[in-house]
Amino acid sequence: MSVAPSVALASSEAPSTNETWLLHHRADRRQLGIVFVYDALLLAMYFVPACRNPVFFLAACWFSFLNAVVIHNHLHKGIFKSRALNRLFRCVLSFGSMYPASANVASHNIVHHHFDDDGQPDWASPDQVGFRWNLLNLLHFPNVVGPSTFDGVSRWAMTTRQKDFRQQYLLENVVAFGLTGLLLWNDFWTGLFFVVLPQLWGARGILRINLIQHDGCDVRSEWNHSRNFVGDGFNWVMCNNGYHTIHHNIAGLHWADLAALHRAKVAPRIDPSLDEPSMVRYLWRTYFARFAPPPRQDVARAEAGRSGGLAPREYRKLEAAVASLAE
Amino acid sequence: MHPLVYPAMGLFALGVLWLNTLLIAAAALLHRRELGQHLRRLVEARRAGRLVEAEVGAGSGPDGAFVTRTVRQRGRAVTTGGPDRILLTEVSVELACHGGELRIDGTPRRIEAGRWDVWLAPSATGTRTRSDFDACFAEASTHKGLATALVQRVGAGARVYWLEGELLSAIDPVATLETRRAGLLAFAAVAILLAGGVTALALVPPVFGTVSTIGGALALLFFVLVQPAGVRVRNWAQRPSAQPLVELWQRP
Repeated sequence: MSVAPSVALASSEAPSTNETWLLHHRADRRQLGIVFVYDALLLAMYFVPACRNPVFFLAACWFSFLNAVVIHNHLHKGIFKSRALNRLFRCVLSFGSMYPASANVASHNIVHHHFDDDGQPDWASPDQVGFRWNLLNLLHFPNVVGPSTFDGVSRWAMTTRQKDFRQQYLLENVVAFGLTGLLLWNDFWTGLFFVVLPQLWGARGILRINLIQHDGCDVRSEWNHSRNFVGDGFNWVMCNNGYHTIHHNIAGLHWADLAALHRAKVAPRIDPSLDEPSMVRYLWRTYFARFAPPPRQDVARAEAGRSGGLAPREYRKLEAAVASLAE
Repeated sequence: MHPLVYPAMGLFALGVLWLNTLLIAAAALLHRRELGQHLRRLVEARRAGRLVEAEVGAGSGPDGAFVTRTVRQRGRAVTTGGPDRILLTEVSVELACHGGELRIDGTPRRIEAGRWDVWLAPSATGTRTRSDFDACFAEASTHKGLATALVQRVGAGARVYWLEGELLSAIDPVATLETRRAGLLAFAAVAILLAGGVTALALVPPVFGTVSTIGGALALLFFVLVQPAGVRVRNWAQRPSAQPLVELWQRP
């Protein structure tokens, strides 16, 4: 089944063609570099006692989070031209974050992108936490959303028509937990402190991002469902994952093309409060400098009369389901 | 550069374990408190004689229904091995409170149509709007899935608990909330006790020795399992009307 793109792109906005013999987009070398550095940090700390220091540990935690960002991007659009390499890379990524990367197909691409699980809420909905002290919501969020997500993925896996999904999912589980288990078996404390803790930091961090990017937004709206972090340095490191609205609306677009489209399509339609220059400042303001969650605002009014330009959400969900069969 | 010494890392790991255990326990206790507010209203209503046991004499709705609960469902064909099955999940619920006659202590009483919460027993059945499995399975095998509904009725002869204008329940609502509150408290207590147990084991001297390592492994296992346990308990403790219906429909 073929489907037309959700948004008509002007020629000047069309995705760039930057293919290499190996990669769909040359910018993905940055993603490969992230994963290489991260795995090297983990192995260095595990095998070389001199590397078990705060700099390596904090770097591993940070790169673990970036590894999860790469999972996100790779599961939207495989980095490699070779399907086999893409599947293999999913296993490498799964070890880095200690969860099967293919879980993203259902949890992120199909459910989260449309904030809907066949009528039930998104498994990563910010409404799943309700402490009056907002910092506790940020801390607790992965404890709730992680299990909800894996329950949902298991349910989805029962009915998927992606023929080899279950096989690939099992393989990624075996690699992620098997390899981590081997490292723990060989040297439990070193494995726990210098492999598992960074893995958990990244995996739980990417779950927290769902809260950070959608809390206080209006997921029923077409353009004001997400918070964007638009700093240039942040987006270079984060492979443009700060431009979240346009990514939600055109999930198939390569991350390297998000910034221009954010400025052209999103910025005129969103509440200025959802265009944050700095994530650090946002986190400080929202979770540390205040006790209670910020009051709700009607952010969707910013798109009044300008909500068009997108295919219906139901159609975009269908696109995601079709795309999930192809990858 | 200063190396990260193992005792410091151990304390950090235990800190992560305890922070998250306490958050999970606190979320369960917060949920318990919310149910407690609801329970207090029900207990007061029972004392005041407003929450009563009754029998439905007749319903004013279609087919003599006192209440009709229509669960809109999405069906997806199960693609794992085994017999043909359709996984049905809840899309939305439409509630029609038709009213009719309730017999309270044998005395008939007319109840007008209105809007109130309805709690059915977990085993409550209903009538599916689509009954042709073959056609439904074919539809459930598409990207769009099967659209169907389950119609649940409370009609003549049903034993119910009635709180005027607020709740019609097929199960004792006070006992239900008391059980759920007890479950939440027990879960919070057990989670904290288990965290204490694995912590104590991990700290058995010599720290990082064999017993301590077994404690560390159990602590990691506990950390991984306490999170889904917390979510399961939370889902179990929700008000019955807020629990989404998930069913498997197997080829007859």
